[in-house]
Amino acid sequence: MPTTKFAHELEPGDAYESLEFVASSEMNQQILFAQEDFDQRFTGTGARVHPALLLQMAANTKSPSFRLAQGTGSILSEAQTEFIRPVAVGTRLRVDWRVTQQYEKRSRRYYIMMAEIVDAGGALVLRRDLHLTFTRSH
Amino acid sequence: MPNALTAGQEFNGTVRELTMTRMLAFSGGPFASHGWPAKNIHTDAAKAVEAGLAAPIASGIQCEADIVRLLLAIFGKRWLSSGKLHVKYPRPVFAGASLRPCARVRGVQAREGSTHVELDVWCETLDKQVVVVGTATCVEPQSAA
Repeated sequence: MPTTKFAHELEPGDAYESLEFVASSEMNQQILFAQEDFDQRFTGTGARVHPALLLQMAANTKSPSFRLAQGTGSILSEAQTEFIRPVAVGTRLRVDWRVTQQYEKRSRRYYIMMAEIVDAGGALVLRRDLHLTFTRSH
Repeated sequence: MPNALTAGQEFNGTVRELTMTRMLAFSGGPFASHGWPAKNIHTDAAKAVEAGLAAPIASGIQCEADIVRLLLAIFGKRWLSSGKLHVKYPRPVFAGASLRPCARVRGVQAREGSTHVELDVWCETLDKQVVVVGTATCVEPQSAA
């Protein structure tokens, strides 16, 4: 059951609602433009999805469940990523998010949210551990 | 290519200016969405100030992606199926900064029929301020080298 908690309240075991999307040529082209990377791997027939698009879609903020409480901000402090298989443009993908650990560093609470992207056949495409912390404005 | 790599070898990627236009394209949501760009600390001055920032800052992921681009240039398509990257984001990047992705080979090891390459990676401004830093590894089957 996806959590309805605010982002700063999440604990290990909490999961966000998954996101399903098609990695369309429009999304890919927008990332190519943003990254000024028009390598032929990512354009034309048989184009691959640019890895920056996968990194972006793995962000916790992309889940429909993501909710920030008033006056709080989400900070990505660290990330560990495994690129597992290349993805063709047009592929339907699903992103799942789950909090796996929490820890404290310099009196600040962090948690690790694991994001996994799988294709329509369930094959893992990318795994990313996001180390997240939260700020409060006064 | 990894078999040709040696410890200490350095790679400097192309310097690119991280313009507000690029930040909007990366963090503003789909171009076709109603009211584009979405307002957030990466795209909107008021949102940035609300969060205590002097101006919008680039998404760390956008800067991290510059490192991925360099790793793709080093390893080719192999990076997309066996690349691992661990990074931290020590400082914010404001629009207009020019960034260069860099990598230095830490070691190359033959292990269980594969070549494992480990690198230090970072992304820096022209005045050598590091904005993303970490390590990367890529595994290449020895038969494919």
